[in-house]
Amino acid sequence: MHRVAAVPGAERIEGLTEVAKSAGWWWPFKGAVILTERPTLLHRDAENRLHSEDGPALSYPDGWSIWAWHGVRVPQWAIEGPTAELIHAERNVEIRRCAIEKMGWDVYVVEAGLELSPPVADPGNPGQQLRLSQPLDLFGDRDALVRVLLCTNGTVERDGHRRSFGLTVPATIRTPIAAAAWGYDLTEKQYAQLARRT
Amino acid sequence: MRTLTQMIDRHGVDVLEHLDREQLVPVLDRLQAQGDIIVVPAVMANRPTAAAKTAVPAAGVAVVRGENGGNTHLLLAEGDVRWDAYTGTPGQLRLGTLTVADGATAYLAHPEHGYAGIAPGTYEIRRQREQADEIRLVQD
Repeated sequence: MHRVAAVPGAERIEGLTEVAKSAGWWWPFKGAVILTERPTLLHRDAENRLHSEDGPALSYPDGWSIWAWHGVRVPQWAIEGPTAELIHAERNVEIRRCAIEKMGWDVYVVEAGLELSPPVADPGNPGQQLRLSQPLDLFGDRDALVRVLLCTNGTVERDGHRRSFGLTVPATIRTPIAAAAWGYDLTEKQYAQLARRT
Repeated sequence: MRTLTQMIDRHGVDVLEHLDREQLVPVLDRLQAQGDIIVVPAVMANRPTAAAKTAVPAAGVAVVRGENGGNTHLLLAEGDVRWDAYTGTPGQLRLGTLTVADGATAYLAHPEHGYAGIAPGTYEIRRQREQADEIRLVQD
């Protein structure tokens, strides 16, 4: 047995130490204790939320697993096989959003067959373009349609690529620049003057 | 203008290793965006913007602080730079007012986006929003 040397009173927590070394969460009751195994796998994002982009975020030895996207618990398909069809059939809007993010907004708009505006130059982001989708019912409310603004990051990722992502804006907005401007409560004319984006 | 390496040496705020260390960090008095925040010159803000009063400490001040430091945009001062955080209604895009005195420079530092230099003037710094089932703030 491992002993904690020279700490007075440490022997009183030796039982807890032993349990912590060999079990996960446990709950004592009168006359019975529920013990769980420790997880065989545990993935988190930079902010310590449960997250895995290619499989379960948490698994136990008996195979029981959960899938999570930046702290949101999602079904297995959302991580391991998202499709536009599955996304549209999903009623929970948070799960829908996670599955689209996992798939990539640029891939989603193509798979969902959305019409896109012609690309326009992204102000302050040389060589990059903005596109705006047709209106769609992404959040289960036919009275609050949105459009997806497809953008590219101003800074390259670790792998040398630029991350492309989608931002949702009210469907009443008609142009990519106006959509980007709305995100910061600026006018289209003001946003067109953006000098630098990183 | 200084390079990213020179900025990191001077302020001690590091950025992700894959960013180009030799790139120059421009100092601008115009509209500029760093990830999910934007620096809006006072003349563009659609409300009267008084000069900020609170001096930015040597260690800088976080204009946005991500959980566990993940998405922190840190405001750094070289000279007389002042920042008054907006403490009104939560959920507003407005984060606060920045005033950079003549002869001074402010920088915004972020691990993923590097440094952005801000020339003398008064600005409003805003967050970005998007339309979900309700309007929400963007976290990149």
